[in-house]
Amino acid sequence: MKVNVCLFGPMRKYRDKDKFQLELEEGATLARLLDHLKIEDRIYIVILINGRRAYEDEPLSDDAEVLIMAPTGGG
Amino acid sequence: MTKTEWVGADVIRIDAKDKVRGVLKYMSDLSFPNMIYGAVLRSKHPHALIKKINTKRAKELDGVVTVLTHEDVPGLNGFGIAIPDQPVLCSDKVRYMGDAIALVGAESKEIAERALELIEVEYQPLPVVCDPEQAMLSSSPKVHETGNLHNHVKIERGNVEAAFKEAQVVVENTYFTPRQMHAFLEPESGVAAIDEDKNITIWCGGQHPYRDQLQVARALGMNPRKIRIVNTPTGGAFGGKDEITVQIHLALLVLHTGRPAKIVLSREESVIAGMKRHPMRIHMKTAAAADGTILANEARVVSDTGAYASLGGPVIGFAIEHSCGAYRVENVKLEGFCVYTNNGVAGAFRGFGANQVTFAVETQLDMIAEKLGMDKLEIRKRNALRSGDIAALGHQMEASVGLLRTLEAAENSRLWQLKEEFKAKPSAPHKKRGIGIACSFQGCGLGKGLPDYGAASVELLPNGQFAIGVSCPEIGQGNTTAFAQMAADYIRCSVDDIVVLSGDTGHTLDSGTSTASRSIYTGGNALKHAVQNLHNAISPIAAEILCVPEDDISFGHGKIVSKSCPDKILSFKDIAEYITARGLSIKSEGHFIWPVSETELEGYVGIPHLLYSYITQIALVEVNTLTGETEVIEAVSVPDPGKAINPQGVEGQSEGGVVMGMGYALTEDTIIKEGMTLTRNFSTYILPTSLDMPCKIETIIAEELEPSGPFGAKGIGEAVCVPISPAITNAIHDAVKVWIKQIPATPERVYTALKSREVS
Repeated sequence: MKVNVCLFGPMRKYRDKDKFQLELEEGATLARLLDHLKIEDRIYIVILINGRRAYEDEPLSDDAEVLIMAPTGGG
Repeated sequence: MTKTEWVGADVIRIDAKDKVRGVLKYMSDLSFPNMIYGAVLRSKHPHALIKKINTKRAKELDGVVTVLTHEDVPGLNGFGIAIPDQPVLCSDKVRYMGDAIALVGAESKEIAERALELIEVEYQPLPVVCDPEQAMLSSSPKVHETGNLHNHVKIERGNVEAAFKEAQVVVENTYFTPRQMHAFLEPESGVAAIDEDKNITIWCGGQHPYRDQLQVARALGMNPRKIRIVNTPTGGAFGGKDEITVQIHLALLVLHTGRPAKIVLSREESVIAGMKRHPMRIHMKTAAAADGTILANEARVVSDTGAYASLGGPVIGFAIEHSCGAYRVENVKLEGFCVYTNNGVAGAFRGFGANQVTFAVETQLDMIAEKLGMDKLEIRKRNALRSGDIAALGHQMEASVGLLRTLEAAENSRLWQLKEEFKAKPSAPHKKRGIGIACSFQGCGLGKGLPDYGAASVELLPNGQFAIGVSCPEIGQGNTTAFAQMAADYIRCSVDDIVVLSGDTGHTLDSGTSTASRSIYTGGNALKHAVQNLHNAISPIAAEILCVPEDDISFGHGKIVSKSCPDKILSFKDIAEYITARGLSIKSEGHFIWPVSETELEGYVGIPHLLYSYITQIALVEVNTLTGETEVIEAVSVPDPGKAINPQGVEGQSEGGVVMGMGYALTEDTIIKEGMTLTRNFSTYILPTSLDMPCKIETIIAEELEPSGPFGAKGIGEAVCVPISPAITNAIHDAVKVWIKQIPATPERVYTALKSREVS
């Protein structure tokens, strides 16, 4: 299956592009995606799958949009 | 737009009765059996190496349960919203007087405090750096190994030099702004408990429970889902509880002892260790044509973030974004520096960097108007941003732009219309009156590059009422009431049938922060989606009961009606009883992601914004020429919040904002010298009290509806405290003809200025 990944802010360091598509095996979870991207600090990140807050053990679906960001703030 | 029943009405705050009767339990009011009391050992030096920490004597004291140091932090020994540069408990170095070194848990608060005195810390003092300009020199002591410049923002557009050459008027000045204290009534405090499965719950005032959860989890090296954070109700925050306060220390105590724990900072500890508004030094050069059109603006802004970053990086970006005011300026050269020093810590504070630069740009504008002989309101109208304009950072104002509307309403206010009459009647011959005006805008939401999201839930309860959940905490701003009003109109039920759950990772979905003037817009939009899903879930059930097709169902005031047979009616209670009898439930979720500006500024996140609230404020002051004392007699506040969900709530925000901005302009500053906090309590930190309130604050709500907002709403929590400060200092100039370039405009400063006719 293919998932669409967007990296924001400091998370961009894990890829040379901030928007890209990844091919993963059917039934892959978010943890698999994070492994693939070699994201080490997995506690202090926020992930949205199709606009919904998601955690590592959640399964991905084909064509899912995955946003990965640091939970920063701002005015 | 659909006619609303609750949105736009002065619904009484849902927390009002419990608050005014003193019934409401804040976090530090909570207690548990077998609870221990925590106390934190703070640094004795503003900058020093730690050579040795000896806790032996403290541990031996009767009643001491635990004494923890950096060695007891199981995860990352650091926190910080943007970067985790602040130690939970310092190991080798302290960088300000509020740095935490050890944490005691004891049977009583008194024993915990006594134990702090028995902890021996050997320091090697280091040279202190307290001037941010000096801190940027390579020869200065380094607060952090990476250097003292935390963030640098530089934006250039057009040709500033050419504009300065062709200008009719150029004004150039340096401004200084103070280290304002949030001064929330409830100091940083909370309680925590741990269960047999090592799940930790922390009840603590805060502004983003889900981010607190992640910061605690990171420091403890735990799965975030094992940590529950409850932030509502919070006894005031204003940005000062956006960052971690006592949450990680509470978690460490319960983790290491297995007992519930409480920490309540004293006011003095809160002042020394807590966040402040960034003091800034702003050098600004502004050019205008003969007709008052601003041709160019150049600004160099140096911001003192103190020992740690917190949100200092985004604050300087926000300040630069707002440094040309809500005006069209084609040529800009803007540069901001966020610098580490040993002066406390600065972080988020209502206005988020706009307050400082607005003071500068609004004073510049008055100076230009005076040189050109223009009316102060007229020059603002001439330059005001309109929809479709290009703003200072080169981004287009695509969303609702309400500045002109606020200026026109301000122009028609009684105070402006009769200003000469008001000024002509000082209360004594040695007092002079003046009127000042100022405007500003406030970026809502987190800005470009920081995806801003929110979620909400709606559940039909067995009694036919609805429980709505939004995690943006109630910090006194009244968002829970506004959420109830919006939900009632979306659902088409009574506001009395809405139960609001707020600020709890255990019971509400992540809606983000109660900061950045964002919670009404985010929560409202998420609720809108959640209610659409709720209606979609109810419709087939109602159709089944009424024996009509699903598309025949409509939602009316507190009822569900067949469109074709209007006498076929159900109440929400009927639906609730129907599903409850069948063991079913209806709970829906709504998710929302903010739209963002199409403009991307390479290398920066958080700027620019897409949505802004706008505001014009006017102040009438009276200056005592013998003492330099300034009194604000009246004020007019004209905010554009988009749709005012609760006009009384907007009025309350407006009045509170005026007084907060008045303190910023006239009295408030936390004095730190050589890294030592001299202003340690409210006895020397001069807050406006009820006796200092202007006789009248008139709020005129100028709604410029935002098409993407829930019912047209934006956010107004911050803007209300921003332009009132320069409106007051401009009024001082109107009264006694001295320009105020450093706030607070204390009696000493005004008196000195009167004597020299110059404040620098």
